[in-house]
Amino acid sequence: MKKSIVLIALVGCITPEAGIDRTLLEGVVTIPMSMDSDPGDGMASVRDTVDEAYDMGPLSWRYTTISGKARAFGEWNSLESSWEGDLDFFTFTGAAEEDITISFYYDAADATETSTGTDTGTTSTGTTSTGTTSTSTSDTASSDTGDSDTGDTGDTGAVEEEPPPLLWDVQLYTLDEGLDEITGVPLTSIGGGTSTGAGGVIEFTATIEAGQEYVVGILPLANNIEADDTYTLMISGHSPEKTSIFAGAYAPFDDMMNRGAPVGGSAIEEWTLDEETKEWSGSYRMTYIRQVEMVEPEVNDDGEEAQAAAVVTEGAQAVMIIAGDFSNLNQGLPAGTLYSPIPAELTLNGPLSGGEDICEETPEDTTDDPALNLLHCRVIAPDIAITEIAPKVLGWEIAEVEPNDIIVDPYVVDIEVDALAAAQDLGVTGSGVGFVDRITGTLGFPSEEPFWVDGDSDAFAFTVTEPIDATITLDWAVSNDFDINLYRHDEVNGTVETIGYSWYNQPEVWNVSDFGEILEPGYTYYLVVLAYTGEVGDHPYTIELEWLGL
Amino acid sequence: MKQLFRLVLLVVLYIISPPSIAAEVSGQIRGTVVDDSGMEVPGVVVTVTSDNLIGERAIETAAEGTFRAAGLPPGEYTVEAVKPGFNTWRTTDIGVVIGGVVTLEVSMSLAEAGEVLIVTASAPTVDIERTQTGLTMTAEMMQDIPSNRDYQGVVGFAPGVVGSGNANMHGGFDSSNQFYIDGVNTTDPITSTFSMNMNFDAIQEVQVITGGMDAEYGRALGGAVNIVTQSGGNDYEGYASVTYSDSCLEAPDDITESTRDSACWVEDEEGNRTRSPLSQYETYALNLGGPVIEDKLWFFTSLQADRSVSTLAFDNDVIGRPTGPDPINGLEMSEVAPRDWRSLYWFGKLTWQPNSANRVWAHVQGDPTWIDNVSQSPYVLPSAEAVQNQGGWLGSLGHLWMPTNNLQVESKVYYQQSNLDYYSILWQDCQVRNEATGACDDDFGDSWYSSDPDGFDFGEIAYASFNERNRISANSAVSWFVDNLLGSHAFKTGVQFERLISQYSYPGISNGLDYYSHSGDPADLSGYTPTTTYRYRNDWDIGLDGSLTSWYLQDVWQPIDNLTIRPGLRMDHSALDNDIGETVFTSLTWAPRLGVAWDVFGDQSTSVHAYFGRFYDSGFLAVADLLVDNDGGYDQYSWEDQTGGWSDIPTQSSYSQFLAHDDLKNPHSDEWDFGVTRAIGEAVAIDITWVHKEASNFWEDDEVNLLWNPEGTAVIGNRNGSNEAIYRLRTADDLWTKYDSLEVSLNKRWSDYWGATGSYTWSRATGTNSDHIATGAFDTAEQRQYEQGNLAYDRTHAVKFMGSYRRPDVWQIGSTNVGYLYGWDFRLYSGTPLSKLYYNEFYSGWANYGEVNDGTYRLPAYSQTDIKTGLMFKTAGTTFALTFECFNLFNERTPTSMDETWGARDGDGVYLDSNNEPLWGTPLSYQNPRRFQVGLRGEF
Repeated sequence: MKKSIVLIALVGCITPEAGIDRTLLEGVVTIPMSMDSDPGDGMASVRDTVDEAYDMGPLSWRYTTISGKARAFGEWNSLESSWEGDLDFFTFTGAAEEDITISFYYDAADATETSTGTDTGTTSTGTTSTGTTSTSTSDTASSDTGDSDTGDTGDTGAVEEEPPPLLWDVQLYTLDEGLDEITGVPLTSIGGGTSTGAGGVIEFTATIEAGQEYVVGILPLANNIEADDTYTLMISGHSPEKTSIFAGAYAPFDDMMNRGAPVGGSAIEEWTLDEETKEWSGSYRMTYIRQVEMVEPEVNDDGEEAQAAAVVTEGAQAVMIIAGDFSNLNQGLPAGTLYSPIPAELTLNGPLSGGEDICEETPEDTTDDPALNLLHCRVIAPDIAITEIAPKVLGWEIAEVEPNDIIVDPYVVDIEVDALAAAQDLGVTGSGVGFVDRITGTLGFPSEEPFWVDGDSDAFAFTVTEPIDATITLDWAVSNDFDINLYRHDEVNGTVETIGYSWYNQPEVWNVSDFGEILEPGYTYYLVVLAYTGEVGDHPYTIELEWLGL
Repeated sequence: MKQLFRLVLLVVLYIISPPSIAAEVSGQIRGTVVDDSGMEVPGVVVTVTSDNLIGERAIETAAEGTFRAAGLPPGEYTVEAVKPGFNTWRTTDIGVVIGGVVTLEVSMSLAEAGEVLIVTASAPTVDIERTQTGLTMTAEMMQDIPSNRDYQGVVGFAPGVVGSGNANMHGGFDSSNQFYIDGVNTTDPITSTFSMNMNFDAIQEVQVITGGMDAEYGRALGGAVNIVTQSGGNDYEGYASVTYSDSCLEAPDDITESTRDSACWVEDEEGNRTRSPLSQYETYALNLGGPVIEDKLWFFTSLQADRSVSTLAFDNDVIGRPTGPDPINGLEMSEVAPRDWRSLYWFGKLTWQPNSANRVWAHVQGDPTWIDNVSQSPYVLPSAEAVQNQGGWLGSLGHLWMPTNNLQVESKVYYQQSNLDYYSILWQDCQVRNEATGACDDDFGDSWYSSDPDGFDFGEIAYASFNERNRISANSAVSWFVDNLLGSHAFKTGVQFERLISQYSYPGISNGLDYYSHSGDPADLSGYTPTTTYRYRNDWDIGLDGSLTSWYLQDVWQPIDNLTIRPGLRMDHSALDNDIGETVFTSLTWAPRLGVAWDVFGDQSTSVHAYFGRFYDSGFLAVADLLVDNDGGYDQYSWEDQTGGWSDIPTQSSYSQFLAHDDLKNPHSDEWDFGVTRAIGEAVAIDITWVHKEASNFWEDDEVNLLWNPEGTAVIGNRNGSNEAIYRLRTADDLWTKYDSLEVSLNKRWSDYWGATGSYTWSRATGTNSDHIATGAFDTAEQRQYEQGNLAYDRTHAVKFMGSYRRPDVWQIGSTNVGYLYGWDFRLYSGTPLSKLYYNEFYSGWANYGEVNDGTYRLPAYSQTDIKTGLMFKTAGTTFALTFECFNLFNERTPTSMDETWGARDGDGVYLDSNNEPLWGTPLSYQNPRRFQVGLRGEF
């Protein structure tokens, strides 16, 4: 009887499963506001036209500020015929459909004894109050402010030592209807506002779309006579809630671009914005930090090679955690990725270093495997900040060498290899993950519809040294319609098949993996640029191959 | 000491020479003989006889006046006590059930020689030693309860059981039960489900054990189904029966109506109606038993042939199947191809009792079955159907040796083979067969399997699998009854050895399998375009092997007359080998059991019982099957319209190979019961039992490679550089189930022409998943917080009431006696909990739970009433019974399943069907409509 009770007591203690690292890795990711300045602005401004605009690139998931200056250009700027003063333009591209907020901060004009004090701030016409939004086509430059010839109507009661008039007009444009022929200002405004003359802020919201290019125009209506006037433009950027920003934990690495496969990862959640600092912060929770490696198979007695087997290693001795708007944590560092350049580093085996372990229960409660001493309960990693945008790292740049013209029918999926015989052999392999290789060339359009009649095509041959994905971009300046195809030549069986293409966009951009393909060693790949329709002539183009990890 | 030595010797002997009993197949009658003064009377010869017992069993009472007749086949017994100088004491109609103990108080008076005292009192209603829960059904009672004439249906009669056959017993999984036929374990070695069908008329008694099991039961976390078969008798008896039903005997189906106007009639263009039932059910049975040598050797044989042609009921307004002839085989596509089941169950048994100390029996049985159109899904079109052939045979040889009244040795060896062959119609019709591999080498470039835009499987898979499973077993048990060791004891110790073998082969197809889809008329083959192809890595041929060895010791100890303590201990060892002979799992477990039963008033009227037991799942060949070395599986590729070819990168891969975590344990459960059983009258007992059961460490596979978004709906990275799922088997301690119930059951033992059982059960079954091996649960770590709650078989309320009444001689018409019979079966359940499922991009299916299933949403409550009535005519020693059965008397049409897809693919909103209606909650199937069945039975 007693023995039975003892036995029951013994088995009543359920031994937990051992050997699973249940460490919960938590942390905070911040996206601080970026601060930039327009190096080309000021007295020697080159930003006076849209073509010379400061390109901010794709709008990211952070608040972006840029400071600039408006040159002194006189007491009053008449806009009846053309801009004589300083116009500043900034361009960016939307990354998502979303309402964004544009804020323009400026100082009040300095008091000056030489000011005539025309009090134009109160008499200006055609201006809107701070923060209003105009969605109609703006004719600010040519009509509103031009008509506001308030210099002529300035009252005579100028008060010495009062600040001079300081009026700003800020507009957000699209290029849908081009530029005003006289002023060079875009015709389509989707939002904007005009200051009242005192220091402060112009703030308005506008809805932007992914892939659309936008122009912010800073139009000083009136400013200080002698000195440059400084301003700060802030664009809210997209909300990180609208995209996926991931945090990945990796075995320690030296090269961010080639950091290997993650041992843990998560998307960032619960984004909040600090209204004062304009800094976003979100949190992540990673579970099951572990490595999975494939072990090469052995060839059996029959000469058959089995499939590679996976080996799982629980826990990780040390990890580096980074975050960014990767589309996949296994990617390297594609150009344009907003990421954290300084990883959080933690050592998880043995005593924890680099983080804080919060254990409501002892680690022993989560495992009883003494051989696995990596385990902690809830590790809080140091904050990591997303502050950088991955630049394009150019690999090789190769120019087209004529003639490399070929003729292929892009609708034929499998073509003869002879059709590509005249292709230019680039003689290089892809530079690898993180690099962008570039080809420049010129495509001839002997007629307006050469594709069906006499169009030729430019073809380039290359190889890769590792299984890899790539973003392929074909861009050109004119409005002609260019197309691009990618072929794969299997020299073993002599086949050439189409494995990807892009025909309808400008620029043409696609990933090889969009077609369920990857680029692999052992094949020769041909990029073929085709002239479809457009203006007769030779038109330059650029092909970029941005290499991506699988 | 001498007795102890003999016991040890016997144990050793039977461990060395393989021996048996895996489950109890007999009962006991025990008691004490006292005289008028209440003094125990030694030397009384107690004789036990029964129509089910060859010969008689005579026991002499011990010095304490006690006697015990063990190893009695279930049945009605007569007990007679004789001692010179005393009245002869005799009682009849003592019902002995499997594992039951009837305790008698025999009072003898001094009398003149030859005087006989007939005691008319029947056996006590309450078994005061028992702590088991469940139900025992005798053939008499089962015979007239409306049913499908199978033991699987009887399983569902027991309280605390959800479903039938592979049922959920006390919150256990439907694949966690053990099935025994005459004490031999017939549980499927791979699936851990029942593996044999059998002749209904060959069943003497079915015992459904839902809990409180002694140490001789183990290896699984659920219940046990224990079948004892007929043995024949000293009189020749034979009976034959036939039953028939078809859809013409069904109520009109206004919900799941097919495209036919009627489930019974077909009307041609000229308006002529032809009787053509959509479904049809027939059974034929022939049984014969009797003596080969009277009081020495009995036989029983049985043959049962079943044919059932059924068509799945579904709501075509919801499913929207295409209409017209299937372009492959010409069958109407709007109708699911009828499932055609043909089976022939055979059974034979010999029981030989050369002397009172030995009984030997041998039995063989088989259940070959052929099933056409086995898929039976509303989304499977006729040409995509498949064939399944199943069945096998079982042979057993048993020996019961009773060298003394206090010692009993029961040994058994047996062999079972079962087959499960499955192949598509296309594979069946293969023209070019590879002789070496068995694969079909037809050029399938022009044939295809298709899934059309609405999700219908179309065409055929040139696929086949053949599986033979074997179980070889040798068991032995020694029972030793001691009456003077701190009270009385019934020690029982046994060893059980089983070898499990499985041989799989998938000759399948040599090349890939291409899927096509259509965008227009599904009957137009030219409208099909390729969508997906599956490339199989190799043809499988997998052999698995495993051994299970168990030892147990169980005592039934009565330290005082009205207290029974049942301590027990069970050891299980398992070793499972994969296809290359590698032992992939071994375990050694020790499981204690303790039951207590208290005869509160000492009059066998009221028993308070309590129980604790631990159970381990020893593993079975499915574990070895998961951990095979063979790296089979397939890669799935998509068709690229742009390139006009298949993608280079697999869109999904499936591997037959699993990793195994180093810390594989045995799933286990702990059970606590507490209850009261009280006799109400002579043959009725009421029992109220509370059950609490917890289980954890189930066999589950984790996906270990992929990194998921927080919703667990999309993959954001991987750990090995390849976007593939890698599964690792573990016995997770974070997988659990809990079951609590309060059962109130009422049982009327068969007597006075009738018997019945009824119960009400309140229960709550919660846990993390609803099956116990490698399910889709826990594949996504981020989903684990939601993958728990009320289990699919959680039924808050369950009411059952079934029984039968048989009165054979009511009227006399000429030389014919006329009687009647009734049977009924009523069930009422709370509805099945309903989940909301979200789309998982990686798995391309509705696999994610967005919230814990707390039972808020359920199917409607389900109830069904079945009745049976009949007239019996007895003349010239032959009885005929004409019976009528009505299933679903009130024609309830409650939905039995509903669509659970909830969120849209982006996780927002409700997924809508083509009619802009929420898909979630749409009934997918219903109770079958009211149906009648007629039967005729003749017996002599």
